[in-house]
Amino acid sequence: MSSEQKQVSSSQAQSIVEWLKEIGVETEVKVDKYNVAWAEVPMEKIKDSIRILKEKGYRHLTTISGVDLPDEGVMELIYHLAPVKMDGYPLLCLKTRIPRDKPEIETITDIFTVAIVYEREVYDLLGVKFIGHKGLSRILLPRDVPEDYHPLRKK
Amino acid sequence: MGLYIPIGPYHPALKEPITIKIKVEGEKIIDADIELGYNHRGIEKLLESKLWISVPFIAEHICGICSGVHQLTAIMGIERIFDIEDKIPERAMMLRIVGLELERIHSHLLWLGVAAHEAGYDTIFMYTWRDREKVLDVLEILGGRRVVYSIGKVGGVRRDVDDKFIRKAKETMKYIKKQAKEYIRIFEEDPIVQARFRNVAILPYNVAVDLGAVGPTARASGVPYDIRAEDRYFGYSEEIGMRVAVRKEGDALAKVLVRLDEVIISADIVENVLENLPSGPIEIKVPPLKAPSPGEAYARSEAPRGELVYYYRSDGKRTPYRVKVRTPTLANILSAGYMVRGGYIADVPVAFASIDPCIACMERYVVIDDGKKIRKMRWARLIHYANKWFKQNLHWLKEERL
Repeated sequence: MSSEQKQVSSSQAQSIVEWLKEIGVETEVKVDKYNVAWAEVPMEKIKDSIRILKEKGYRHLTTISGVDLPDEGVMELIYHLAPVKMDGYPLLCLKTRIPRDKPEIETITDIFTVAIVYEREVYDLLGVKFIGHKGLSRILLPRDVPEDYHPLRKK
Repeated sequence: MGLYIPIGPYHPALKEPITIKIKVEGEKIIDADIELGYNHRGIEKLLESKLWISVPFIAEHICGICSGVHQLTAIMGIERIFDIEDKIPERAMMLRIVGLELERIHSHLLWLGVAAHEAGYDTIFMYTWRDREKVLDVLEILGGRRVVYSIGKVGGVRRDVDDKFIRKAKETMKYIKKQAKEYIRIFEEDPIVQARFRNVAILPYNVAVDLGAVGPTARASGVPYDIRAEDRYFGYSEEIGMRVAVRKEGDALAKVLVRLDEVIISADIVENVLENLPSGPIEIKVPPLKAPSPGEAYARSEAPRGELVYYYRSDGKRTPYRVKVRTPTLANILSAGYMVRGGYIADVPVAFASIDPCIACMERYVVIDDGKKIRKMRWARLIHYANKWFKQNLHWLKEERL
C-alpha cells in the first residue's frame, strides 16, 4: 500500500476514535497494512459502540469470532464490521474481553438481525451467553451434545 | 392453527444436511424455521493442530464445489500473518484470479442445472452440466484435478501454465459466454420458466440489507455488494474486466439472471487476465516449519455463494491458535427462511435452491398432520408433486405471476 493511502486510512481511524469518544469510550484504533482496523472496547460499551458505528456507516456485520484465552482468564469476542458505501474506510474488527468464569454479554440482535445466527454459533462452540437473545440454542452441533460442552474452549 | 412440515435433514447428494420446518395453511407457507447441526466436522478445531503451511490443504475440503476460494482465502490470511502478501509475484496472483473465476463459472453452472432440475426443466440441467464439464477440464489442467484442485499454496501457486492451456481456456471462455447468453434468453423468454421463477421467493432490498444477505442473493435484490470490488484483493480491478452484476427484482428469476451475468463477467476476466499474463516466478519459498510472530489476521473474499471470511490468531507457535471460518451460506440462512415464507409448498424447491445453499437438498419430506398422521415424501416426490401442481394450476398462476 502506498504511503498516501496509509495517510487516508489513519485519518479515517481518527474519525472512528472520535465516534467512539461520543459515547464515552477511549480507545486506540490501529490500521494494519491490509486495510483492517483493530480496536478494543470494554464489554459494557460494546452495544453502544456497535450502534453508533452502524449509524455512521458500518452497516454490514460480517461475523462474530470468539477466542478462548484461559491463561489470561478471559474470552475475546471480535465483531467484524464492514463499511458500506464509505470511500476508503477500513474493515473494522472490534474486540471486547469478557471474564472466562462468567462468559455473558449483551446481545446485539436488535441492531443487526443477522447476529442471531452468529451469536448462536459463538454460544454453541464457546459457551458465551448472550443476554437478551431470543432462542439462544445450539446451531452447528447436534442437539444431544451435553449442555456444558463447548468444543473450542481450550481447557 | 396450521400444519407443521419438517423438510430434511438427510440427503447424500449434497454436502450438508438441514431441516426446514415450515408451517402451512392450505398451500401457503406462513412460517419457516431452519435447523442446522447434522454435519459438524470440527474443521476449525482440526486446523489448530496443523502446520501453518498445511492449513490451506485442509481448508479446501470445507466445500467440495468452491474448494479453490476456501483454499485461497485461507492462504490470504496466512500470508498476512506471515507478512509476505506484498512479496507474492504478480503472475501467481493473476493465476489465482484465473482459478477463482473458473471456479465461479463452474459453480454457477452447476447451480443453474440444479435450480432448473428442481423446477422440472431437465433439458437446461443437462446443457449446463455439459458446459460445466468443459470448465472442469480447464481447471484440471490448471490444478491437476477436476475438483479440490489445490491451485495455490502459501507463497504463490503450485503449477505454472503454458500457451496450450491459455489457448484452451480462451476457447472455452468464448463458448461459455455464447452459452450463457443463450441461457439468459431462455430464462427471459420461456413462459413455463417464467411461471416457476418470476415473483417467487422475493427478497426485497431493505430485507436483504437487514438480514445481512451476501453474494448473488443480495445482488439479485439490488444490493451492489461484491467483495472483489470492495477489497480488491489479489489485484481485482476494472482493468481486468471486473464489474458488479446487479438485478433489482429480488425474485428467483433475478437470482438466476444475476448469476448468469456473473458467468459472462468471469469469462471476460479469465480472457483478459490470460491475454496480459505477466511473466516471472510463480512462488516465493516459505520455510515449511515457519512460525509467525504472535498476532492476528483477517481475510475475506467473494466466493461463488457470497462473502467468505477467515480469521486467524497466532500465539507464535508453528500451528494456529485459532482459525475461524464463516461461510456465505450461514449469512444467507435467515434470508432463505424469509424467502420461503408467503409462497406455496410447490415453490419450496425453487425458493430454497435460489440462495444456492451449500447445505440443502433433502432426501425426506415428512408431512405431520397435527402430530397424529405422518406422511413421508422423498425430495424427488416433492419435485414431482410440485411439477404436477403447477401443470394443474398454471391457468390462474399465469395471471398472478406474469
